[in-house]
Amino acid sequence: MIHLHNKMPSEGFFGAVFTTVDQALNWFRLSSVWYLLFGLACCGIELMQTGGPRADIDRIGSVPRPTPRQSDLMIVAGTLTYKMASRLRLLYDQMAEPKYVIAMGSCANCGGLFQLSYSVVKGVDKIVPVDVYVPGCPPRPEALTEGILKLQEKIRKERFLVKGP
Amino acid sequence: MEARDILERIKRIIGETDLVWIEDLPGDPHLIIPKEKLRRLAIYLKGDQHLAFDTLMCLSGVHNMGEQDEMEVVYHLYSVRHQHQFVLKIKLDRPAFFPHFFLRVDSISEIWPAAAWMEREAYDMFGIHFVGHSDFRRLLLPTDWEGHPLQKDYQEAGAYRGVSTTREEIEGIVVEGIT
Repeated sequence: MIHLHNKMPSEGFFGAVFTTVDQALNWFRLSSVWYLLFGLACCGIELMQTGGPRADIDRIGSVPRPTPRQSDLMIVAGTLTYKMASRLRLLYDQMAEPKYVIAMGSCANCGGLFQLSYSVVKGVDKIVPVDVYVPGCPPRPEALTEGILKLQEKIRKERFLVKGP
Repeated sequence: MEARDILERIKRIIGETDLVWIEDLPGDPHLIIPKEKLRRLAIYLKGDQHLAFDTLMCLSGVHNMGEQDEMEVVYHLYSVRHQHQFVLKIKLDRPAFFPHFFLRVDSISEIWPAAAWMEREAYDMFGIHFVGHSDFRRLLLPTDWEGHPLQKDYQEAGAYRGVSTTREEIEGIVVEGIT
């Protein structure tokens, strides 16, 4: 829990925050989840819409980055083929810790419509660890926004400095 | 020029032997030629001023596994100058032993450069070799892929580079058609 005080009656006006290091780190991290643009198929169009003015995930701190080195979150939007899988892994490895992955849409979750195909990976979780699965074909921008909010809830519960559960 | 007139001109140049003309089936009328005559005919079809087939619209592979195992290469030609089109076919036997040895056709990518990628795609999907192609490798699939997936008897490998190609069953839900 983060306590914000910006007004103390006896001292006049000043700002103070009372929190723990873990909670502060988590607060900073979840408030600026920058995502890597990784549109592979039609989900990429919905991903663009989510960053656009209607859904506008800028307001929860998520902005698109064109490079993995500046990204905290990889949104795998679309059908992943085996040829692309090694590139996906390479981009994931180039991201700095802590890093998160959202599998967006049916194809990224399990292969979706194309799971009987010879060339489609049956879920990106066979390549990289996935934090949030967003269902839909493709998911609406509201659904992806919900996915990012769910990821923020997950980040809020993380503990870095304390051993154990 | 109509397809029959084009056929007559072709007969004049490569002879009538071994040509099969099919026009009563649904679809475009087409001419099946032996593969030895392809290159000579292609040069003629492009160079002759009355035919002037300057565009190769499509080059496709077909695998028939009915009574006999055979493959086809289909060439859709179009002349922008004369606004006419023609369909050529080549049939290839596919015996059980050393099939890749028999699936060989002369490349026409020097005559129509558009064929270069389409021949590579036909090789990628069907395993048909095009002899004389300047840059012959797979087009779509990774270079270390095994097999040619549009062959009717293609068996999907269990894994590619250590990644399983099957979908795990989740809480007893069986996905039909996936082995």
